[in-house]
Amino acid sequence: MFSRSHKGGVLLQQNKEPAFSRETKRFVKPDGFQYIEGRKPAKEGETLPPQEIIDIAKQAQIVDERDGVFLWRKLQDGLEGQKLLTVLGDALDDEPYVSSQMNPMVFYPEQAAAGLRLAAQALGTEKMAFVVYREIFDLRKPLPKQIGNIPVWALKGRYPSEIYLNLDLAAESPFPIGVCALIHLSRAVYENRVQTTCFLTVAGNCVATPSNYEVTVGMTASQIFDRSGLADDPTRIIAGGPMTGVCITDPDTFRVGPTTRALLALRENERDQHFSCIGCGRCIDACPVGISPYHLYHNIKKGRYYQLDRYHVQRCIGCGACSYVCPARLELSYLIFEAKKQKYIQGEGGSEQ
Amino acid sequence: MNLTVRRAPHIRISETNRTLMVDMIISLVPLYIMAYLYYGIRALYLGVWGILVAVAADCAGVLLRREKLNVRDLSSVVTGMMVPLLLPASISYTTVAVAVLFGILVAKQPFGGVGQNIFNPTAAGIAFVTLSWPNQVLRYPTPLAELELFGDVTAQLSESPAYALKMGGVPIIDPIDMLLGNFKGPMGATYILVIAACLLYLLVRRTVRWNVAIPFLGVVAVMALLFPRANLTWAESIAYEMFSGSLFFGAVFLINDPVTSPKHRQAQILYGVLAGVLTMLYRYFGGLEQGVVFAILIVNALSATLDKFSEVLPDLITWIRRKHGEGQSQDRSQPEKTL
Repeated sequence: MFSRSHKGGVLLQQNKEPAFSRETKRFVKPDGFQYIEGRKPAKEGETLPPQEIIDIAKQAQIVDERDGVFLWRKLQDGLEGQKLLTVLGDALDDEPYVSSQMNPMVFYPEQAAAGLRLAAQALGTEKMAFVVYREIFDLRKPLPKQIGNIPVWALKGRYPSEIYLNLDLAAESPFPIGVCALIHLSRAVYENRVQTTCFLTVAGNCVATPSNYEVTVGMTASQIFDRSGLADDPTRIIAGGPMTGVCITDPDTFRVGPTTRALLALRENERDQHFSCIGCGRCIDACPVGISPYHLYHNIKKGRYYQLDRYHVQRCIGCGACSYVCPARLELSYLIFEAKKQKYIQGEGGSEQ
Repeated sequence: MNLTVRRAPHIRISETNRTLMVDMIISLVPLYIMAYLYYGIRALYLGVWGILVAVAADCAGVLLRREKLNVRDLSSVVTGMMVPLLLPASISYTTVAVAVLFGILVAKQPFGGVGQNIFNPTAAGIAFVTLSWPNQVLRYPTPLAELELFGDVTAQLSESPAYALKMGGVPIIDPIDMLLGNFKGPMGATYILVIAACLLYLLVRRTVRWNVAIPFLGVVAVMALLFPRANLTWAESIAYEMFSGSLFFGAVFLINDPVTSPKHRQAQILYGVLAGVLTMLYRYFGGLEQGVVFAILIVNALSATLDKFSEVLPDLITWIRRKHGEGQSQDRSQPEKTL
């Protein structure tokens, strides 16, 4: 009874349409393609040894869009670990507006399935599945139940759903890889292509045609907005999802990379409202990892950094659920995650990604 | 393009402190309507007077602390509305002002204003005037009596059914009258049906959570069932204990105050239970029939401790389990991935 539950999180209105059901648009520079030199593309159905797949991923410079780590490094780590893993094609787009993993998975099903099979081969396992987020209610067409004979698991629960990947599926030893990285892996193996593009969602209430784009890495945000069209002047442009993304001030110099999952152009007339904490405790209920943002916030505000360990600051994942629910509009998640970074990540020389 | 920079998350829930306070005000307004129907226009005057004094005192406190006034903060309005509702309709304007001033200038502002106070301002103010002028505060006019707008009230005042219960007697209230509030008592705390509807509204809106109020009411009911104070059947005992005084009002509006209650769920349940037990002990052994505000003030002081206790409890359980050689695999999972 007294063990703290992990059933926190927040239910968000997803706003994924119309971007999700529109076909992925390609916006690639004509000279943007590169090929792996001195290698013949593999044939369909050919079995490759694990080390070769990892080498191809290395030559193709594929980056996992979930966390910005090189795919070959992840696969190498997974291969060296002795566990029997379940490879998961991660299409958990749980942040509102963002559908840059689900959309390519639905519109390039063969490539996604082939990529997942290759990743499973590289890790020497047979167990694989795609995972999607179930609590999305505004989709105009349903998500597929399986893709190329690979099952699609729908994870239920509130935002952030990635927490359930680690908790609910812990028995399966999950090894999540982003779907976009899998698509690039299959292109590298079967078409010899180096990853020069990335998938991202362009949405927000200022965007004229919200949809998912495949763009060349290094394009600026304003180029992409020119393509999608802006119906209004945005007051805020966000690179990434609305829960964890960062604001950008100059769209002409901001260049998209493989981990840019979305570009959102929003217009709001909301004024800054500042209240003081009334201690309603909603942040504690919302926290998916079961820590107390209320107590952490007050200790940070009073400069009592030595107290933070007692409240398990190291468990914060920076998901932003506490800030989202805070009726006083406090920047809880930012302050707590910064405090954690100062205490743990910088102390260890920035070893965590 | 004029772009602003803010920190993630970029979307926020639509509720703010202001909407929470507006919810409280919305649920207090029906009580004023009932008070108007039973006691006339004086009830409304008392309410407006309470709000005026509360807002003025709050602004004065904020300015004395040399902080910026926040016009969107409605917490003082809520305090000003609640204080008269816990007093008889015949109360003098001075007493209302003293209660409000004590609540805001002693229990709220010195601790640092909104969100920082340890004790509920309303409960503190009521407790202060109850101890100072028990004859004025605990003697009530009959419902539907004519009350003068200003000056001394000439209507006949007498004790409430809660007093009869305190003295070991058996109060006689018709069940329908009890639900409608047609018996002597504080001007806003007797309308059981209306207050129950308010509780439902606040629970559905998630402005208050069940964790405090329901355990509190449950414990009161159980204790009334087990230890009836007079020669009553169990149903009568529960009904009189729960509904004859200001207990039900306190369970909805005072004990749920987010500022002074604990933040963790287990601590909240414990807090509600403790408050219920203390309230009933006050009724059994205390000197006055007004028990709930004192009980709430005492558990307010404990809420931070309860929070700390529930914070270390999981660690304690893990430690005990490990000590006894079981549950090595009980390590709580620590997601290491950053988003």
